[in-house]
Amino acid sequence: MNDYQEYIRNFSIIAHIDHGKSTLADRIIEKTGLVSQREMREQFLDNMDLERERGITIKLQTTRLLFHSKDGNDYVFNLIDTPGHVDFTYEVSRSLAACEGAVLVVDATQGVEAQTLANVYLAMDEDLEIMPVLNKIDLPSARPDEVKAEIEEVIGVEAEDAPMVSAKEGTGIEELLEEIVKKIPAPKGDEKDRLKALIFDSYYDNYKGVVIYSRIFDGAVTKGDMIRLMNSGKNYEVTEVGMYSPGPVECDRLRAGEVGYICASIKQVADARVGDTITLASDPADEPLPGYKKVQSMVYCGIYPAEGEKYENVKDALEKLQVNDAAFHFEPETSTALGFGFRCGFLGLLHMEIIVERLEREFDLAVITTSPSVIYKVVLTDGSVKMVQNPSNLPDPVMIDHIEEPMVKADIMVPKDYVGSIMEICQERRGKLLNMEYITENRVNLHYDMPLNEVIYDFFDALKSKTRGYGSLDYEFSRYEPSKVVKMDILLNKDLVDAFSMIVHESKAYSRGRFVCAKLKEVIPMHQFEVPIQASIGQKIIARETVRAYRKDVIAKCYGGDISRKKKLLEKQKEGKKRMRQFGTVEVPQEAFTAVLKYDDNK
Amino acid sequence: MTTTNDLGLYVHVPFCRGKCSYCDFLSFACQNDQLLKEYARALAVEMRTRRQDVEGYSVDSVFIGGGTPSLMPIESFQLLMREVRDNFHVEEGAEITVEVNPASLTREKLEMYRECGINRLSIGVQSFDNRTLRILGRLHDKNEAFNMIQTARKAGFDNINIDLIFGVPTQTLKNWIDTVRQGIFLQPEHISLYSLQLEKGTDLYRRVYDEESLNAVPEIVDREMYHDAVTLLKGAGYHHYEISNAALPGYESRHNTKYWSYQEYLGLGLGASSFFRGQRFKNHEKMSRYIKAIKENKPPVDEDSIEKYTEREEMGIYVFTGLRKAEGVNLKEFRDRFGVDLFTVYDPAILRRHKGMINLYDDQLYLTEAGMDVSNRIMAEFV
Repeated sequence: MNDYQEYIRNFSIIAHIDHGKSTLADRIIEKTGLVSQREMREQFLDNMDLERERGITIKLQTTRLLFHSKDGNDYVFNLIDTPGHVDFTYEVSRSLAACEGAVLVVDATQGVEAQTLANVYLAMDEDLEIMPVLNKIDLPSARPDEVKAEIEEVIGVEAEDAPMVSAKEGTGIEELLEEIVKKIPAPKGDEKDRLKALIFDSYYDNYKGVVIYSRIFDGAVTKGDMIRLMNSGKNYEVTEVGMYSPGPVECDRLRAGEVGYICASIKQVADARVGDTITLASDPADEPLPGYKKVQSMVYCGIYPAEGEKYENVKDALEKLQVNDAAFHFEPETSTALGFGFRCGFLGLLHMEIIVERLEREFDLAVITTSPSVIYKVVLTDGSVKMVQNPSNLPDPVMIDHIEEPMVKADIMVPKDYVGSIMEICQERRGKLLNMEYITENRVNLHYDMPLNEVIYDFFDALKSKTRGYGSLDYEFSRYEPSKVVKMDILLNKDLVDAFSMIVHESKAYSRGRFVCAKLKEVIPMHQFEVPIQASIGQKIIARETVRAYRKDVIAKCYGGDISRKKKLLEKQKEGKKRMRQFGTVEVPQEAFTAVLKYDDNK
Repeated sequence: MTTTNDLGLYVHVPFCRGKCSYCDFLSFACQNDQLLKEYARALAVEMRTRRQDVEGYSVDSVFIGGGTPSLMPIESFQLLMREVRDNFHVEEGAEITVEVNPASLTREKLEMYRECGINRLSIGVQSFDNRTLRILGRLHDKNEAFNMIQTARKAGFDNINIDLIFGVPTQTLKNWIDTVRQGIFLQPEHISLYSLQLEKGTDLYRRVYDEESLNAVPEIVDREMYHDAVTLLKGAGYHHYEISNAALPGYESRHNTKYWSYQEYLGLGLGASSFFRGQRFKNHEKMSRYIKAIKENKPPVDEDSIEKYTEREEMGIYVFTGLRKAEGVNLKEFRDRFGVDLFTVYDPAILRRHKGMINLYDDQLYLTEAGMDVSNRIMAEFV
């Protein structure tokens, strides 16, 4: 080991949502004096508004901190933050691969949760030293002894001496930092060896191009070096290297064991994919680091400009988002009902919601999203295979031999009192219980085999609602499996509205059809004529509702010449109409598209 | 020779004996004449403050509305009319209307109105069915209404409007049609038909939607009431010239027509609206503010209400108000006024979207009778 490495600690903080990861990260940054209290925004690492609002971290942030230990030495802490959601498992795993240890934050009032476990397993896969920390120790409902026992029992790591902190109050942070020095191993690797560096994140900067976050495992990288990305095979010249503390600080070079950023005039994030290995073009390493995979979109939906919104604006915004998000992609598509728009691929439902919200908030766009869909493997009678994610592209049934749908392995962790209701909602969604284990006397981990198409609709909402927020979910793709799925269409006043079409399992078609029709009845306003709403499979109508016609919409009196009042009234009416989308003869409010996806407790 | 512009004058009298159950107009229950007298004096001052502003205008219609203007004591009313003539140039043959209420009208007052030059009466009959009148909270009964119209005739009024309301809770199609028939039998020159709107804050709204002690008339019945009444009126020779108004030919209300024909009018009194010299504004609705301005000898205009609309907005107003009239909007007049063609400003697809509801024929853009039922939706296309 080189001398300088002895004073480096590379670690991540892993935790379940709401267990206080970001707050703890804030306290650590504050304690190491990197950012003064005054500069400190709440939860420094989550720098997108959306993330702050939702209390989750989507985009990674990495920070280099200096800690003066009681042993008299100064240590460099590279705190590598990880995204906190199941949709981003691969990114989490690559971030963890950049570390030697993980600080596992467990809420002392809640105990171990499904996602905590999922992340712990990821960390174990990378052979990290796991260091449990109990947070929210200040709360009266904290039960540290029980939770410690739980950690030992469930995760199998020693928790007796786990630091007890309150990130909110800032207590116990100093002790935690000392523990990090003691427990988490220093990095290894030889700076004289051939360069091997892991890309664990990247973002796009308007001036520098793609900025790569990297952990150097072997060798060193200097400005002017010609580097090669081993999986993509492309070469680039390094224009800058540096470290984040917390803003970018340029340095001469990055050496084995260190974490920092590299710029090399790369044009888009997709060219520097997370998990790829950087080596020197002149003297490349024999093999890339293990674990690289190209992330696949699991969920697709159509995004269309809403009435009055420009197609070009939406396209520009999607392009900007794509530059920064290798997991998101889109291509143009056309819908008879919605006109020109885009088919977009996402890692999961949350990822989709985030993109849509960013379009609306950061870019101030009005968009319509269609029902999310998974990718179906359609095996045609001639033996060829077609991957279909847009219901409208499903071939004619006579040409289809069979259809396969993606299945996931879902882990659901709940307090035992909710097991019954979880089984119910899983069964409704065609889930097969693989097994069930008692983690502790009160907590159960249910392992389900489930179709992804059931997970993406409203499963998460249903889970949260049925368990009062105590249930947690983690899932990963397992395989494709033959399934009796059919295309269900929605007809408004006898006209098919393709934007509402969805692929559903045969056994669910009737209930889904009834649900969608009932929801649309709620949101579609009365017209001058009756509007039948029908769900159909092929020619067969499986559900029907009717929006009755209105008869009267007139102001009889004249308000004594108060034309302004009348004008305002009409403007209000027009405003309401603006949010409508015309399908044939029927006006449909934009919210209809989300309404048909929302979980309804009473259905 | 100087050219003059026509002007309508509206005078608001915001007092009633009691508040009717459906009323959300600006009016107060008032039991003593003192207040009415003071208010008439305030109106007189307001008129004087406008004297300069109306230079170049001549008044071709005066409408004294409320509230219940017939509550006003004789001397006060005389003062009011004197001031009107002193401060404004009232044309020979101007239409001068006063709104009256059967419960507060006397023979004596009717004669005074004649003497003051009132040549049109608008009587708030509302219904010839006593139960309906009670639900509406009206203070008169059917016989009083009947008698009052006869008395007005005897007093020499040859231009009478009666207001009728339909869609009143408990009212049936049959007793509404009976009311219309009785109205026609009395041969007023003008009949207004108002579809009752249950407005929040009114007693009737509360009884229907909060207490649920009364049932609202279903929309479909309300429309049947409307169309049946229109058919009856047309059969009796009335001209259905505006959504809520019908008149014997030549007796269409000049004053109301101003509102729908983009003509100027000046409102006087509490909360009265004006469209004057290109501006739309309202007087203060708070009595204390109104009186304060009067004491300072200033027009009591609520500065916050002044709207200076863009040309495009004015076009919208022109069209949506015009569409209230049966004849609708004339495309040539629109072009003459705004210098552009109506359908370069508005999407011609509106005609297709509301097929059967709005028509274009011989340069007139107008609502059909079916279109009048849903006029708001169509008008909203133009704002």
